Amino acid sequence: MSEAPPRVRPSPWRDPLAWSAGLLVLLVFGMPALRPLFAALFPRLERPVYAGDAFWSLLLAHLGLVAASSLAAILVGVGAGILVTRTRGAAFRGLVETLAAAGQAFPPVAVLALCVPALGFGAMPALIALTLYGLLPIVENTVAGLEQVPASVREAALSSGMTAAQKLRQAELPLAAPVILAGVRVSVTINVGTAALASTVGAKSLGLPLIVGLNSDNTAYVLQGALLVGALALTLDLAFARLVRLAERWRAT
Amino acid sequence: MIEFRNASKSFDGRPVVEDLSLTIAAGTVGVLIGTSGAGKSTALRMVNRLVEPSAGEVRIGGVPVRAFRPEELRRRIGYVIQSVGLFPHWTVERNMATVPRLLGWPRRRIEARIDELLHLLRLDSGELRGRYPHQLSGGQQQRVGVARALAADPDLLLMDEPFGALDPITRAALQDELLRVHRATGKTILFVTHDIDEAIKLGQFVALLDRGRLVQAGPPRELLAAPANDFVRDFVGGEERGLKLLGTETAASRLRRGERVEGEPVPVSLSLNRALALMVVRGVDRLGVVGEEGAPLGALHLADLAHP
Repeated sequence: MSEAPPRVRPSPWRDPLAWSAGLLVLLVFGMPALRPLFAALFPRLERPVYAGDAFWSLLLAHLGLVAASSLAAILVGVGAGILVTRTRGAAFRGLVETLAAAGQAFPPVAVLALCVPALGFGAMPALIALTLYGLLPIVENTVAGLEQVPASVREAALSSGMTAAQKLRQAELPLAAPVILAGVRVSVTINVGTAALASTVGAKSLGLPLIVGLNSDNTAYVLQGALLVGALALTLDLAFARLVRLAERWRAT
Repeated sequence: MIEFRNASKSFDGRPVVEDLSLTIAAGTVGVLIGTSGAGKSTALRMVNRLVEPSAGEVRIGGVPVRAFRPEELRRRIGYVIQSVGLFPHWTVERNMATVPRLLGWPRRRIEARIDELLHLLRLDSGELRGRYPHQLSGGQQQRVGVARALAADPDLLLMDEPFGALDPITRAALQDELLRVHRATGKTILFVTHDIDEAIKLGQFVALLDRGRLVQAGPPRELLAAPANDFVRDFVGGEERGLKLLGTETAASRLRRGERVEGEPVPVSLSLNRALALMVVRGVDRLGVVGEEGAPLGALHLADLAHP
């Protein structure tokens, strides 16, 4: 072995994100190939591999739910976090934090049940429940991230002649980004798991094999759904960890 | 020219600056000095509207600062603070480009200006421009802070105890640097400090504040030679102000030309307080004085230090 140069690109073989993403792809496209395995594990089942929908279409639908609800939670959560850390919005801080906490304290299943009579079955009640559920970590981390920006930096931004918007965009948000992204990471990871529940109200997601499996006493389906949800959550979590590192790379140099 | 006209400021009914009237001539270094809580930083911050006076006004070049939008005003005034306040996520170069970019300068012009400033503040050795603030020493950070304040070529520089957090050696070096930059640029500088030696060294005009009120203002020699009251006398060093007074002059002012003295000569630019200290250390009552090039000029006598 020769001496390692100071900055080596990590080999993809040692990259947990690559492994996790690879596992996800293998599971999505290779599940039918695992039929003998599941047949051996669950010999009493007639159909040991879920075949209702292609796994890739379930994955896309699941990703769509998570992306749409997380995007809404980011817009609302970061927006609210910015608002309550401005002088004019400081009065709303308690209220916003309480609402965000209530959104998470309320079980998503209950939100789903309550939304269905109003909005009918499908993706809409699922999106609302997921958005509410994902708000808290984003609001909290946005507030925490903006508050830890040093006073000297804020003073420098103002005294350089930045407008309030320039100060926010050029100084405060980039410095708060690692903390905000950490909140988004928690929110997204939780939502990947919670989105599986959306299939109880008729939305397509990786929860479908789980629900069908539970209803028809098919443990193999449950296992397949759980494996896919787990692999997706892990992949997204690792991807966000990388994004957080990217947002604070100036610190590492 | 900066003018304070009966400027006052109170926070929650507590007066911090009271009826301050003061003029700092264009192109000079003015120093606001006082103990902590004297109101000097508040007064300074009135100039770039970080603080709005409760009564009275501040004028720059005859125009009330109220007449400008705060952002536009601040882009024309350099501001340096003790905690430096560099943007930690930006490189040295990007930090220095802050105000020029806000003003929408073309890239070429910004690049050229940064080169100029790196040179002016002696930051051009090594690869500093691409570094992040946390990779710099305290002294380097403050140099970058000064460079950033100068970047858009403002006529006016406000400095709030900028060297207060530095070690004495770095501090002295940066004071010298500031004087050099001032000579090179001719900026009007308003400087806040609580250190009388710093005020004497840098200021052509010193204003002493106490609990929000102006106590005495004038050239540093005036405060030292003729303190207005006991507070000023104590603040400028009590009996020791005699030594500080000597510090405002150099060997050139008491030179006996043509006289030769044995022993190691001193440069003509040596301050008189250090010349006196040297006489005590050497146990002599006269020193040989040489010019910049080392040519003998004359002698400095102990007796002449007490009587100009």
